[in-house]
Amino acid sequence: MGVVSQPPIARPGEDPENDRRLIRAVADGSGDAVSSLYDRYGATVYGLALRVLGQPDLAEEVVQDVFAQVWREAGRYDSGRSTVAGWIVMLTRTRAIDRFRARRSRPDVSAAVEARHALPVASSERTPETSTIVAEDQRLVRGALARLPEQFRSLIELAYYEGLTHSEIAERTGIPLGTVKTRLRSAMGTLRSALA
Amino acid sequence: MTHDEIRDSLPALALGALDPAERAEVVAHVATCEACTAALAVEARIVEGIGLDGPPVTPPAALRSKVLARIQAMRAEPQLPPVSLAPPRAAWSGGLALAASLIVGAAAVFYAYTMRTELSALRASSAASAQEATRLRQEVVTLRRDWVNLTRAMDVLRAPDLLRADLSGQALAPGAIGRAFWSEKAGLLFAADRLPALTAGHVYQLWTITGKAATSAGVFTPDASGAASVTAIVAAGAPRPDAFGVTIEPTGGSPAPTMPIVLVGTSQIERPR
Repeated sequence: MGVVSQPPIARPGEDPENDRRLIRAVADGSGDAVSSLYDRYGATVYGLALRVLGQPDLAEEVVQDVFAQVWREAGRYDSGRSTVAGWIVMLTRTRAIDRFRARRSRPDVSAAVEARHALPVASSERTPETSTIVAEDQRLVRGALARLPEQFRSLIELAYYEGLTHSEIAERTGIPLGTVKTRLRSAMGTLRSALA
Repeated sequence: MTHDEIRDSLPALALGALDPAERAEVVAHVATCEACTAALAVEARIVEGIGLDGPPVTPPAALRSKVLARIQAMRAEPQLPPVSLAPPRAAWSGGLALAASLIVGAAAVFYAYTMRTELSALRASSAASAQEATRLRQEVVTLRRDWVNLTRAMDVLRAPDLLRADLSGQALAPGAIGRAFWSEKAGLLFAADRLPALTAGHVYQLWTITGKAATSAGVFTPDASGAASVTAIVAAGAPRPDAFGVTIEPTGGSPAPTMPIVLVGTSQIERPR
């Protein structure tokens, strides 16, 4: 009886060249490529949506919306702006925050959230080498985030997972607006220095 | 804000944490500053890393087939391409632009008809190659889509509640021109010409303006000649716009216009065509 050896599955973001190949295949209409992307990122997307929303049924809806959007917009994915992992995570965050706010009976802000995260970042074609560096960046940021003191990390989390602005964070936490700005800037600076 | 203050705001911009007024100012600056654009790219990478920080959670097994079934359904319904109403470059007059649209429409119908006839003949002919028949079938599908879009455009122009606005270029684009047709019932058509090329990461955004409130009507990128068009559905009960405007925004668009305005024009009631 033989043992079938499975190739190891790379963590999300750790095989950017393969991700780009998959996105190109999705843009060309390959259903198999979507399945592969789901197998690779389904748990990341679901985990992030669940973290934002806290409800499995809503998180599942976000997962469906995100992969539908990936299918529709794969042709517009720009490898010069972000990794595939970064792009999918950005789509997930936008949709999950949108639902989070809708659930709290706030106005539909998907356009506002999407616009907030649509950044004027210059596009320049990344080579496979630089994409590998970017994947390394992501690992370093994650490590640095874990080491951030709670009072800094909590502010990053309010901005990232709930989509709150400086003023909204100040209102929520009771921390003065100026302090919120300083702490967020300092926290992001710590993460940036992890890349150096 | 000084340049240093803007640099300090880039991490918050990347996180989406800037309040709207501050955001507009920082985005406007970044659009013109290479150093800030590069610095913002680094902040964006950090934000990507934050997003990947959370632990993956295995979703319920049934979700996979739901996701794939939804995509399978989307495969069966190809998206309609946007209507192209690029105006004639040399002579921009309502009559000519409209006549050109109608002529293109009529030509598309005639062409679709001849293609269909040709397709039938090919089907009947055992000599016709299957490959050629497939190509023609695809062409007919494309022409049908074009026809649907042109029909929509004509519905707008025939709507009883039609408004028209002629937009003129402001300081950022003095040579640019545009025209919008708006009907609450039938939708919105907009075409512009002689728009300056955009820097990477930016789009033009069209706004309907009622009183002091601006509502996005979509984003667009002009072609190499500076021409562009937008079609949009108008929400039921939407207020009649007093004016239309176009601004430059980051890719994806903004919730509120970032000044200065590129093109602007006030609405007037238009006799349906």
